[in-house]
Amino acid sequence: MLYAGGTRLPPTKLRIKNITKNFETKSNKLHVLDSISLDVKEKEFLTIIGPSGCGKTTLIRIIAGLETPTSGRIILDETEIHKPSKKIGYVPQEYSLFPWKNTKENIRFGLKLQGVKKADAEKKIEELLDLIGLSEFREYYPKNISGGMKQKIAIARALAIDQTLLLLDEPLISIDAQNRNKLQDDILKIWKKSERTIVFITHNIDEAVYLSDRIIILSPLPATVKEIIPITLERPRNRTSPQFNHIRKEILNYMNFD
Amino acid sequence: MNKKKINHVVISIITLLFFILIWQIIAGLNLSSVIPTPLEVLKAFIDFSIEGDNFGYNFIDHISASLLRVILGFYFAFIITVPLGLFMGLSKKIESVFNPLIEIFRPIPPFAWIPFALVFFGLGLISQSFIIFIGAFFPILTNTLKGVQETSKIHIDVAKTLGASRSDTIVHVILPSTLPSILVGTRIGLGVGWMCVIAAELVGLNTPVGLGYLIQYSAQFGNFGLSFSAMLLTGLIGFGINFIIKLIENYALRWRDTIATN
Repeated sequence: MLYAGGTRLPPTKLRIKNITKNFETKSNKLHVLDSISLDVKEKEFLTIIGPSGCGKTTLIRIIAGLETPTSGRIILDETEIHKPSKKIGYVPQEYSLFPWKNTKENIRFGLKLQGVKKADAEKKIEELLDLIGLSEFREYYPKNISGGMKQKIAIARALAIDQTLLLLDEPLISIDAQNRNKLQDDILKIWKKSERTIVFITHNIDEAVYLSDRIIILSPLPATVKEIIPITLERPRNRTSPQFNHIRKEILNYMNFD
Repeated sequence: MNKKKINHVVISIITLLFFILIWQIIAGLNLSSVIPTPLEVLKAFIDFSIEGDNFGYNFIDHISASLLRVILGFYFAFIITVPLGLFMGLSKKIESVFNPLIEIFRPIPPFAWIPFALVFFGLGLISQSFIIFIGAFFPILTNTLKGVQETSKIHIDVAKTLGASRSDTIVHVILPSTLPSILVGTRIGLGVGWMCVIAAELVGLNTPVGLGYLIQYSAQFGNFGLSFSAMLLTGLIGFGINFIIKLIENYALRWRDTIATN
């Protein structure tokens, strides 16, 4: 199979195989994910989109090893994931920075746990601060910086340990529209420069089309893979171009579940 | 100081002056010899500062005796309850072991322990500190427990994905996020301890020293001016303790987006 532009298809990074998840309470059984299968390619930007409460977060938490699936397997680089792994970075929706640590200390946290030497850690932190463009805020505490900055620092913290797969769970959900566009460009830049594979969750169609190589549309509960849409538009993408709008419309139609 | 702060201080001073005025008027009505005028209180304060009591103790002796009892009782309460609260918060099993005991003992007023303490520990420092220990025990314990339980699930998850073991998570995530609650517990525990010491000194003394003792002893001999000045000192010191812990809190927790105000 040929990839856009005629190059060979890159190898598979992550395999999601028949993931099913039920949440059981005493009186209730909630069927959240129904045998979801998909492959994520090396260095791909893959976005999972679906209506609110469709189990997107549950799926990403299962990939991160934070939640156990009822059945099915997650395979990263040929090894199965059962628990959180240093190979997988995870950025939740919001409020994930440690408020008692400043920017540098937050980024350093993972490095410290890995026992990275102080000088090496410092170098890495400076590189990451440079990458996210927040070098001047290295001593700031989370309470003194904006929501967008916090999310970029959370991404840098995840990137600090050398994982190759980055999971972003609606990282821009609480950012206003104007800053959101700017942060989307920042995320693309970070993705390109850091050469990571990204699995991104959103319910914002515009965001998904702007960012992704492929979009996975989930159905309402119990979630199944409803549609897979590859996007071959060249970057930087024009949000108002006819092609862009065409894809948006297509996704909107797929997401019209009633 | 900004304008708001200055206004606040000015209002506080006016309130105090007004209080003294009302006090002077009521005492001046001479309804009872029990109520001394502000001036009599001030005079008793000065006299006592110069002369001390029959045993040769002055204010400093009385204050430091009371403080020692509080610090001792508080210290033992702190070193037992903080680890206990942490363990209870970390393990549902440990929590269910201790919870019934705590729920039964917590509503018992610390003073109800006085007869027991006197029989068990006899007159003296240990008995008094024991009452303070009981008084400080529950505020620190419940606040520590609450702090552990309120640790953000998101922070714990993120730490795990960054490679944190269980003990890394406890040291680097749960402890720092519990610290604010521990400090709140400390402040309340010391406040309750300070109230308890005054009551504990009304009984069970083997040495005639302590602010609570002074309040009672001077009143018995009709020196209500001295009794009142010892009461006011008690209030001032309680205020001071609270103020100092708040300063520590606001410094140690300067990363927080709220500050301790009361």
